Amino acid sequence: MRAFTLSFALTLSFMLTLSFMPPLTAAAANEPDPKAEIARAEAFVTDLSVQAIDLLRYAENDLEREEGFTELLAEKANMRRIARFTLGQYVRKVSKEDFATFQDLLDQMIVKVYANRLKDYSDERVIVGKARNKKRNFIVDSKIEFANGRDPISIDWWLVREKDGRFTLFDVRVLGVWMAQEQRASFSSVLQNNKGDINALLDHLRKQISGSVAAGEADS
Amino acid sequence: MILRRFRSHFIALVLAMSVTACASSNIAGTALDETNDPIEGFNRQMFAVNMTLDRYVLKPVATGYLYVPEPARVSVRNFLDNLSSPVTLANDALQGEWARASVTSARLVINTTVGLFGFFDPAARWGFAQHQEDFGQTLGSYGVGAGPYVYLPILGPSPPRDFLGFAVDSAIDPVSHIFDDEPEKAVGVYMVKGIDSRATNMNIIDEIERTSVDYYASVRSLYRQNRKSRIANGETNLDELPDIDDLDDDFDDE
Repeated sequence: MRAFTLSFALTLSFMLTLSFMPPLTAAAANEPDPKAEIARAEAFVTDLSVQAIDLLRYAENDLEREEGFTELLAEKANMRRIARFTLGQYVRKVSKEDFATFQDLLDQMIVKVYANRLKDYSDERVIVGKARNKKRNFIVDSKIEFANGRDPISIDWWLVREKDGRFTLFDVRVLGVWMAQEQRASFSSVLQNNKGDINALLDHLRKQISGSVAAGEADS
Repeated sequence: MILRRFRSHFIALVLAMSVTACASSNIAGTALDETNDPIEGFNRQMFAVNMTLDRYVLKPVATGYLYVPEPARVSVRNFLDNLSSPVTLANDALQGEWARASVTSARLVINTTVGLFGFFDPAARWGFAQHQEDFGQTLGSYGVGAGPYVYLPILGPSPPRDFLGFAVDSAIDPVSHIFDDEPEKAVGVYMVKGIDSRATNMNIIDEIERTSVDYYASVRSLYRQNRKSRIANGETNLDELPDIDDLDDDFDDE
């Protein structure tokens, strides 16, 4: 009887202890140190910008530069999240197949557009500043300093800490403009003006990638 | 004389618009922010007008202007910026940004004297970097929303708050006072600024035009975002970032 009471009391106390303990999840066990996370975000941007400038500097031709950027983005950016964001409210309306096509075209377009826009920046230096975060979103500020004495340009990098703890790039802000937000605005406009038909947007992207969009030919 | 009469009409117009802008600020400043383009059809037509003007007038002239040696172009830009810096100073003060106001004052004094009437910019090398403020930003800093998107010929993006800002800035700009009786010269100064700006940003403007799926919508987004950023003096407000967490909803379903 006594043994039963003792074992009952032990079991009860064990159960009570368990019920009052915070859930022992992986996140709680390895809660990242905020300071270390900030430093890690800054290091991520330093590494990414060094790799990007190396590509701009040493790629021997457009093709090599584009291939380099494709690899770099696949490794450092969450292209799927970017694709979903740029589709805005239309993301829930497209089929899986169309989304896959869109993703593929968007990846190609981003590389073509940005590898080209950045072509003239090979002699510059990126000075990485401070990072701040709100939950898993990290904003790292930086400056591009120009070799020819032009005023520096400020660039913000928006990183997201993924479930596995890796950082990925989500967006870049140049001179106050977030690039993915700009893309979303123009994609939404094309979709809106074509009654939400994703094929219209896909056609636009195909034309752009093949370089056949003449200056000023923006559809209305 | 004409300019003076024009200015008094202008100020009346500006006051009338400022009341309207303030009244609508609560609506304009919130969720409608990004596109808020109720007269898109009209705006697109005006955009097409400006694109034509750009193709046949501004771009060719700006291309020609690029043949002027860079140091000369930089000096002209410095001179005109210095001449209009009281506009920035007034708006720094109106925003209560005293540290920035003292930078603008220091720049004005140094560049007008050591910088030989503003043709050179020694102030920047001495740690007084240039910034630009206008009355649209001042209104924005007090919480006035930009209002619906309006695109005008020549002027470009001009939602009510920023058009009002442009009107007030033009009225206080020393350039319009110096050429009080010769308004065509003041217009000339603004034209040189426009040509210089087009020339300086030639590659990036052409590149954005070439690579946008909808150039009109891109310009609208660039304008909206850039103004927001200027009002925040370039700072990113973490609380104003779009929520992207719901993008992960069905991330693992494939």
